[in-house]
Parts: sequence; structure tokens; C-alpha cells
Amino acid sequence: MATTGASDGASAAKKEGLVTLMSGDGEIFEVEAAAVAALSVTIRHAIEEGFGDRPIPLPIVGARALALAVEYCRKHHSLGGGAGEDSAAYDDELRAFDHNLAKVDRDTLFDLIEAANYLEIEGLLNLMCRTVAEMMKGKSVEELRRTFDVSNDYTPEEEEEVRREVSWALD
Amino acid sequence: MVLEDKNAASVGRPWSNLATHILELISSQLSPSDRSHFALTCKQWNSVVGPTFPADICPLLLNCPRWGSNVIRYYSPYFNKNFELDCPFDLSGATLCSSSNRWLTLGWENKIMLADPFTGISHEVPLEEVFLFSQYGFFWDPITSKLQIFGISNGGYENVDIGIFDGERSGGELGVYNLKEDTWTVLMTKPNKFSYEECYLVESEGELFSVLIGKYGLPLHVLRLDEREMMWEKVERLEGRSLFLGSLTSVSSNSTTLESMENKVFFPRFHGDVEVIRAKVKYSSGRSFFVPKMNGENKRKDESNICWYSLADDKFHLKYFVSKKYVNSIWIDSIVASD
Repeated sequence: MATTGASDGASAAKKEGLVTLMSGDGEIFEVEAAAVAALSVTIRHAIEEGFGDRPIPLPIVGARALALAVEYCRKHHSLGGGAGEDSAAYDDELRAFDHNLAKVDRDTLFDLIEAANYLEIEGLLNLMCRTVAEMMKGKSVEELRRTFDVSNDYTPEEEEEVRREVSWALD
Repeated sequence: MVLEDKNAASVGRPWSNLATHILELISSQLSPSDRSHFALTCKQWNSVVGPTFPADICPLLLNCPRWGSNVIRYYSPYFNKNFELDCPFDLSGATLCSSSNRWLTLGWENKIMLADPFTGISHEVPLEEVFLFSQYGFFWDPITSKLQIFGISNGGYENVDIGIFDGERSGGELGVYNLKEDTWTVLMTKPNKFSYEECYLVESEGELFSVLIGKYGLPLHVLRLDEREMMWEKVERLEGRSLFLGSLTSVSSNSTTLESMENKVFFPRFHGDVEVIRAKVKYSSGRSFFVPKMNGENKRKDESNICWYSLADDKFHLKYFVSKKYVNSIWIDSIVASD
């Protein structure tokens, strides 16, 4: 499945297995079709639909997030394909890579979630959501609002209603 | 990771508007208490959080609408909801005998079983001769996991029933069984001046309480045994405790009880229909929760259906004598996570 787009798509073959992606802010990325097609459902479909010789537009994905997402695909494709899943090296190296990727700042984290969601990279989306959940652990409501820049849109009555439903868990 | 884009970091991201399935992915990784903070943050976040109801905050009334069917319900007086779970064993022909912590004693014509309705673990009690006793005493020590059961038949002890404050006859004898020495002692307590139709004994934090109820539910007196004087003294307040009375087992919860339940005496009697929620039990961070199988309307009603008496204002919340008693029901201690 991973190589379908690259070998069967005539145009992709012309570029020697490369596919061109265009970020929402207009940056062009030339990446290995096999790697991104294996990990991203959206790009796989685009390649299959014959976008191969034109840049695939990814309107809501910024260049920085796209670069990180592509890096994620490459790493997971090469290690996943190269080492076999039960190899210890595969586990450790990928875990270390994921761990590092998750160290991004909050805004990048958000952009990566949106990118992974749009590109349908399931592993990346899960990784980033897990990271967010990790950041939320032990935080009070006020701390959550501050950390994630979320304003309280409850009326006092609505907030009281929800507060009462969950009062058992509040200190 | 080197951050190059300085502009991106200064622009706030709309975290509150994340797509529902993404918020679900995030909230599903949170512990129940973190999830409640998450829900309170803003409306969009709250919209993806299904309600979870802690099962470990107060005693629950185990009840069965159709005895022998494969479901069993747990009424939570705090949430005023009946949580309906699949029953892990066949209850047909069984009689509820007693409960201790989360263990139940169930009696059949030819056997007695100890059963944990949450895990489905059950043990048949090895007995040489089986007959159903009129009352059961039942102790489970959670530290040693040692179980002790004994059954009492009415024959033999004319004036003494275990666990029954035997006031109707002469008012004041307490039968005490010494497990170590296998002996009975009858303790005389000084008769109290109250007349009553129903009485309950309940132990709470090492003290013995009795609750006396007059005809049609009034008056209601709560007495505490002063063991030095062997005298029942009337108490005006339960000091934060709640009592849960039933004909098979009465339990109490201590002063860490939720505020709305303090100083109240609960009965297995109801007015109107209680909301039933199909649920399963989940354990997380050492706590236990009822998790509804389907999301529905989950507003907590102010009016509760269960009949309770408040010692704070000395009255029943709902009329006692017109309320409907749940047959086939028994109080069990809150569900504590087993691992």
C-alpha cells in the first residue's frame, strides 16, 4: 500500500518518487511520496487522484507544522519499514523521536493537531492529543483556561449547573 | 526542536474550538477528576464530556426490579439515579440475606453463596446442613480478606435476636455474640421512654445507634448507646454522618460524606419513578465510576425520589407512610476500586 502512489502513479514516477506539497502559506515541499502516502490518508488519496505532477495544496496546514508532519512521516516510514516492529531499536528510536516531537510549544502543538487531523495522520494526532492530555493533568479550571487561552463562556448559572454535576471531583 | 517561527508563537490558538473528535481524543485520556476540570473550562469542551458518576462516595441501594432477571440496579442517593448493570450471576430463586462491604450473602433452598456483584466472584459457603436462617451476621475484613458469616435461627433464644434491638417485648435487651468464645451474652440497656413501631440498629465509627420510628413514620428518634452507662441517649445531630436503614442491613457513612447528605437518615422507600441509567463500572486512579452506556439527558433533579429524614430540621423530606418500599433491596457500601 505504501508504495502504490509512487510506483503506479505515472507522474509520481517521473519525479523519481517525489511528491510536491504546498503549505497554506505557499511554501513548497518536495518529499518522498512513499513515506507521506504511507502515513497520511489525505496525501495518499491526493496522489491516487493524480495530483502527482502538480503541488498538492494543503490550505490549512502552515509550513512549520507541515515540515514537522513530514518529518514524522519520514521517520515512522523509514524506521517502521526498515527495522521491524518487534526490534528493540525500532521501539527506542521511534519513542525518542516522538518524545522529542512532543516537546514543542503550545501553539505548535495546536498547529500539529490541526495538521495531523487534516492530513489524517492517525499516529501523529494520537501522539499530540496524548501530549495535550498530559499537560492538563492536575490542572485546575483556572489553570486550564490560562494555559490554553480559553475564555469562560458560561453564564454564572450554566457554570453552577455544570459545577454541581461534577462537584464530587472538585476540591 | 528549534523554534524558528517567532510570529506563530505570539498568536493565540483557538483551543476552545477544536473539533469534537479531537476533544474527545484528548478527554478520553484524562482521569475522571481531570475530565471534570476540562468540562468546566468552556462549553465546547464540556460538550464532549459524557457524565461519569462516582460509585465510591456513598452507600448504594442494590435493588432488582425483576428478581432473577439479568440486570441489577444500584441506586445512588447522592445522584438520585438508579444505575443498571448487567448482573454477573443468576439470581433466580435466591433470597437476599445480608451485605458487608461489597459482598452479598444470597440464600437458596439448598445453598448459601457469598457474591461480589461487581466482579461476579462468588463462593458457595461450605455447610454441613443448609437451612435458611432468619437473620445473618456477616463480617468481611478487607485487610485479611477473611469472611465470617453466621446465621441465627429464632429457636433457642426467646428474647434475643442478633442485630435486632429488641424493644417490642421489654425494651432494652441486646444480644451480643462473642465470636472467639462462641458465647451469647444478653446486655440489659436502660429502657428508653420512646414508643415505636419500627427499629433499626446501625454501627457507625465504632458506636451503636438505633433509630426508632413511630406509627406512620413519626416521630423519629435517633439514639446512641452510651456503653458505659448502657443507656440509649437521644442525639440531635449525626455530626456529619448519614444513616442508610433497611430491614436486612443498615449502614452508615462517616463525616466525610457529601454535604447534601449530612445529618440525614435514608430509607429504601421512594416516591415516583427514579431515573434509570444503563451503565458499566469503570475504575480509574483508585476510584470507581458509573459510566452511562449512552449519553442522555443527565440533569440532576433537585427533588429527590428517595425518602429521607433530616435531623437538621426534624422532618421527612417526603411522606414516609405513603412512600413505596423497594422489596428485594439492600444497602451496600460504596464501590471501592479493588486494584
